[in-house]
Amino acid sequence: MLSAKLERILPKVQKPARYVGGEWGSVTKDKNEVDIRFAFCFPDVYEVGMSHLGSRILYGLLNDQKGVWCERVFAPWVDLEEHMRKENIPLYGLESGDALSEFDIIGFTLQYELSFSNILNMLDLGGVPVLAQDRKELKNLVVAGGPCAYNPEPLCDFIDLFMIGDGEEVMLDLVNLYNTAKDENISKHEFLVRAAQIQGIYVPSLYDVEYNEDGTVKKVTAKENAPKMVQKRIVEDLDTMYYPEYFVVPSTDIVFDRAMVELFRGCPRGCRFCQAGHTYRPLRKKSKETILNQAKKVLESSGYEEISLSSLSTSDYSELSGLTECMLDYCEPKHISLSLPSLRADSFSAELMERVQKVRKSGLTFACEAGTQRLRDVINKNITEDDVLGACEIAFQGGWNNVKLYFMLGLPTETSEDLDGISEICKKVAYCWRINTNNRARGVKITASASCFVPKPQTPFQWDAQNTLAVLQGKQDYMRKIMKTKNVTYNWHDAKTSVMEGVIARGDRRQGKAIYLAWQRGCKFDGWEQLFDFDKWIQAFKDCDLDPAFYASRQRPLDEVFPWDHIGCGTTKQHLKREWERSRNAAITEDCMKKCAGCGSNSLFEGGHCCV
Amino acid sequence: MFKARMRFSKTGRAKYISHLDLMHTMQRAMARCNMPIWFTEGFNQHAYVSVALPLSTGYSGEYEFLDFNFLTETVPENAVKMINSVFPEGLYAQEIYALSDGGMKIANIAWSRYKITWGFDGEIPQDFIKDANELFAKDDIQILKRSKRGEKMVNMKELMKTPEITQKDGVVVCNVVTGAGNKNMSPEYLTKAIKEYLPQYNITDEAYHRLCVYTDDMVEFR
Repeated sequence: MLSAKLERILPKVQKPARYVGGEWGSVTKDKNEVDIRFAFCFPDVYEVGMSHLGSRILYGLLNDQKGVWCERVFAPWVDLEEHMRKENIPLYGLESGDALSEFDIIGFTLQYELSFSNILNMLDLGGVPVLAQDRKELKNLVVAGGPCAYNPEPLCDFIDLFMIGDGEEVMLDLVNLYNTAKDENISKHEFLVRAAQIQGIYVPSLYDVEYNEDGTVKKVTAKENAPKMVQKRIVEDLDTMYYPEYFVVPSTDIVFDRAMVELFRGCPRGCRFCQAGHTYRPLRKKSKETILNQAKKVLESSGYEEISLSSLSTSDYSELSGLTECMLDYCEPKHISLSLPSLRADSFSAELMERVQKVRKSGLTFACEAGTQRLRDVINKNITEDDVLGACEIAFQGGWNNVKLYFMLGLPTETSEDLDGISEICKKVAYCWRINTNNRARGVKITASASCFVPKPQTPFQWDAQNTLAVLQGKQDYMRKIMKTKNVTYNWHDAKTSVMEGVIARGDRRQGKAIYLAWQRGCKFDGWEQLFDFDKWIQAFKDCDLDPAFYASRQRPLDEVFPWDHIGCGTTKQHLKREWERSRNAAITEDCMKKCAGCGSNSLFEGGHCCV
Repeated sequence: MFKARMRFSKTGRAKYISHLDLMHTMQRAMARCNMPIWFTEGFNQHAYVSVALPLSTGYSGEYEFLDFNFLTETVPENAVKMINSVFPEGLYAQEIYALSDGGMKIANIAWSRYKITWGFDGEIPQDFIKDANELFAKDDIQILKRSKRGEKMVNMKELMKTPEITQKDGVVVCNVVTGAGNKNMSPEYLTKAIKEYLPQYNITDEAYHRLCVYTDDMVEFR
């Protein structure tokens, strides 16, 4: 229930509906009847957090356990936070309204480096000590998982343990162990030592890190029987894996307000800049029947008018044609539209396009990533200009007049020729519309967006220097000058946030001090341009004797020990190194469906066979 | 196909659902219980629903109306039960009925009855109820009213009927009929009038709850 104090404030803040809970599908249990109260925290606003499929899966999974009550916690926007701090209202779970400090386990999902400061802020606002060492009891155990857990080191000061890889199984192992620990009344330390024995759990306090004189990692030593290398967890069979039948249906608009069903996990492509592509391996598929079943259940129980068939590369799903056909048979009479994110330009067909637009027409997005074939080969994005233009031709002939193209600036080996190439492709797409559209009067909207490349850990580009802020800004200036084609809108992403993301992405545990200091000085919502304070962050690093450039813009030697080397993502460092070497020769590597590249992730399967 | 109307209440946590969001929430609830309602045709097909006289975000109400069209011959049996089984917390349907001959027109709504609750830090000040009753008993209460055309001084008594102000469970309850539709006046102007004319009282909590809506001759809208 909402407290009277909160009710007094809500009329004064923007979008109060996101702070009250009570939505269709949210789960309420009797707190006296459950053993474990779990706070599932998303370190961003409700509209962003509620759009995240992984959180929905784990919320459903945890609440499916009889003894567990999982609630949702999001970061309040700054207007509400100010009131909460003034009125002494602690951050609360949306379902019960109880303070964060009343929960047994507090779990954060790590989607983005620039949401780290929000983790500290949410703990503090919830009345939970921010530093792990200040939380002496088992209660308020702070755990985390998600993509950024593949380099958890910058968060070691704050998080008690990390879950690496798929959460569906390891989360239940954790909850069971916590139950036992409560029954046996063991200490937090003893609990952590035992937790470290669960595959996929990384307890940072059980590892000592030594550094070389130049600041790089010398070695990492595991203590108290913790594994030397924490290999990630995977769910082997997606058909038998838990999937929620109920979605929480927000009563207010969120970013991706639709039902979702996952087609497969992993990606066969191996784009060298992409962290997800390397860390979600090996490829595991859901059968068409399972997907249809789950889609129907989710749609029936939610009432959503749109469903997205999600994956890292949806057009690579082997039974996509049959699946979309069956989906449409079900959806069309009910006025439900299909959305297929992550379509590749090289597998876009007229037939597929017709299906996605059957009920409602939405925009089309193609990721080209780079402007020349040479650079696309360097990053192993195996699509050609002809693929992109071919896809656009189909789209324009089909009556589409809204196409988005994605690019990155600052990729390794990039030259001004590659930047000119971006402008060239946009020109050709605009021309393609002119000769293919059947209604020129309606006009066209081509949006080209360029983000700044951030080298990520556990990818072939983890050795690469990120462009410095000055270089990135110079490239952006150049782009603004050459992107003058009529009908093409050019968007760019703030380079400062990308640089900061780059610093933290490949950081080590010494960064904890700087993150703490930056938060104390008021940094939060760093992913939101209007609140991001670059200078404050840089100053915080300097005041902790840390050089941001050491982490972001230093070309790292191939034999360097990385702070995340003891975290296994399935793909071996050896494979990543090989891919880095191939990239320097602009040599492409074929996708897993054509030929096994030997990434090593198949060893996570019992029997060692990938099914592609 | 025929026109239909649902009378519902919107209370508790649901009072923070805004007008646009309420329409989406209604559309999805209709889909969840397979209510056979009409969809618009064309470019962006959607379930047609229309909220009459939407409440301000944060207000609760127990006399709200949603218009839509049924594809069936008659209102499905159990329609109220069906929709109530799939509503989020705080929404509750009281009645669903066919609008024969088009039913009462939304445009004919002329008055709303509100229950305003005023709270204070601590006890209710001794003379507050007497002073407030005296204030609203006057024939002319000038107040700066904001509208789309700008700000203007108006006599708020022309846009309301004399309220009943009483005390209940430690808070002050004001039962008032204010103008709706063309001569709309938000009940918040009563709170504003107190702040302006009785500045010695410091209201710390205010809540607004719509009890009923009427046509010009005070017939309950249906």
